[in-house]
Amino acid sequence: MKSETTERILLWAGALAMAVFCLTPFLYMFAVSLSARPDQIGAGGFTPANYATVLGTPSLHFLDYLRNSLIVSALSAIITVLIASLAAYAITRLEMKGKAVVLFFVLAVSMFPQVSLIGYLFKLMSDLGLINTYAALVAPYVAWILPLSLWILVSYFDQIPRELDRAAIVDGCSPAQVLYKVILPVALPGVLSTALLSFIFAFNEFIFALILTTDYSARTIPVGIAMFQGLHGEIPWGNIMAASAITTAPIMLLTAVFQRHIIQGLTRGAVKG
Amino acid sequence: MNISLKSLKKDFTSARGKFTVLDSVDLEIKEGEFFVLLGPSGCGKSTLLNLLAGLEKPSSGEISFGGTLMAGPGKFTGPRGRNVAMVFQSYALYPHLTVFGNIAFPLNIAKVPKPEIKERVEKAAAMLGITALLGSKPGELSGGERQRVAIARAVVRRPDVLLFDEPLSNLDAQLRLATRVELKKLQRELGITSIYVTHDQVEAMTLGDRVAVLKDGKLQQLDTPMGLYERPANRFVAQFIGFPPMNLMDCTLTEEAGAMAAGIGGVRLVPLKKPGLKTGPASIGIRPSDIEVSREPVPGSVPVRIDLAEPLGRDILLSFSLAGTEVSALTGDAGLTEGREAHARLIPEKVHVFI
Repeated sequence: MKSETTERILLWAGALAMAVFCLTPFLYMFAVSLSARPDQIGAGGFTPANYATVLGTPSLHFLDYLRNSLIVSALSAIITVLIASLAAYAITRLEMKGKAVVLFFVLAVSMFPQVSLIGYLFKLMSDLGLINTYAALVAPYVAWILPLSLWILVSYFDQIPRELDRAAIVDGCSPAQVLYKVILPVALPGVLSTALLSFIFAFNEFIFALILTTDYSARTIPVGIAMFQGLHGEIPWGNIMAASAITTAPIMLLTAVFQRHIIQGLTRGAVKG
Repeated sequence: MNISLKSLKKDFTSARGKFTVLDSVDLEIKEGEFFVLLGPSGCGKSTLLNLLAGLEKPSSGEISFGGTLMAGPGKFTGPRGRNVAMVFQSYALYPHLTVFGNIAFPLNIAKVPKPEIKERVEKAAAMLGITALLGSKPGELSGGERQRVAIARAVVRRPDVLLFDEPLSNLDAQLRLATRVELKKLQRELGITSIYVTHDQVEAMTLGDRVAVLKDGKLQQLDTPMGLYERPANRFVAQFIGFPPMNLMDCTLTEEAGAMAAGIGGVRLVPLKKPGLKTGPASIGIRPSDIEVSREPVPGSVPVRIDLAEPLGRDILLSFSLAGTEVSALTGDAGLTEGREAHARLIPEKVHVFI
């Protein structure tokens, strides 16, 4: 009885500490974004003025950044999952030599630090004339996110019994039909969570977006928000916090809706990978 | 559809080297026959089924369906071109589809018109008594129901050949018995050539019109169930078929005044009347039901001491040492208890000799 109580107290204390540690910046962000005077929270009362400014000032281009972010992230997620599911199908199902080599090579590639690539990427995109376009961001994002997606999907596909494939083949499916009529629908939770993780990765990315875009026609939100400062020779904390708060909304929404799938996807990838 | 296999061979190459799973198998399966492939695990029976389905390519040899070459030198027809259906041990139902969707799946792939699909699925479901389940997902069904769905999915296509890969192994004993009876009735009704893989000799005996016994990739014997029981071709088949298993004894064949007899270490066990036997070492086999155990000596009996008496219900299974070899025998005499002296006689007509 006594040890149970202790256990419970420790559990709650631990959970509370984690929650406070993780949520404090968010609470601070919301508090600042709603304050009339960002330097002294609550001193001038609370007001939604910062949100109105961010959303209503065309020169800030906040809505452009938001649109760019959503489009770039969605494109990256869709393309990544398409390629990753084909690759995962090949690796788990088809007779192929050197599967393990491919998987470890992919893992090795994903270890490259982003910073080491950025200089070359800038030159490449300049030569291709793609700087400040969606393509300049989507292409490196796909390459950057693909390894993780591939590993998660391989572990998902691996758990689907092979007898299901054999049943589909005997039932008359071609290899492509086996993939889109059986494997993909059965692995749908995994595919969805992989797509969401890819989306979030692309949505949060900063360095590539900073270097490869020049203005609001392709710039994404993380860079856009960072560029708020200095616009009027000062750091507009209220606006930055309001913009950040709005930016978290799509991610929080997606995460809330697909929460269960994402957790499953993350842990499966972690355990198996 | 009759099926013919000619010197069929399958090798696999793994990290540990090349090994042969199936070695020169020749078989003729007749139109409408319920054909059973029986053997212990690793004997190659599942590989043979995969070769028949077209899921794997033979290393050499030929497979013909109804006179048409399906696999052979320079020719290979995949599962799509063979019109075979398969029932798997794990059922292999598509978890994202309803029961209706599962049964309709092969018809959808074959682009059968929708109204016809509905009609055929409903007919197959009615035949297997699963009409009420058509709207459920496989996850909501019991093992027996899932197996019925898998069978419905197989028969709905009106295949030329039905393949069963240990379909009853995942069911509990009672359900297995009931499903076995239904399966046999269904096959009789449909008259589709069926090939059934199992490691369970009782299933093989009860279901099969003919049974092929495989071991280490080689065909040991092909016969009717009773033929296997009464005339086992070798020691493996003799011990694999029948329960309790046949007793095998290493002994010496001797000849006295033109009459052959088998004995162990000077003890004369049984006279042998089979022609063409030569003197020397051999093994003899006799089923436990073909050893008579009595309280008093009878002509030709050998004295024994009963080590163990296990009641099986109608019969009692006795274990004792016969001239140094452990054997078992069935008796109906409840007075033959453990530790008792008794007399055992092998029925000469029932003795099998394996050289």
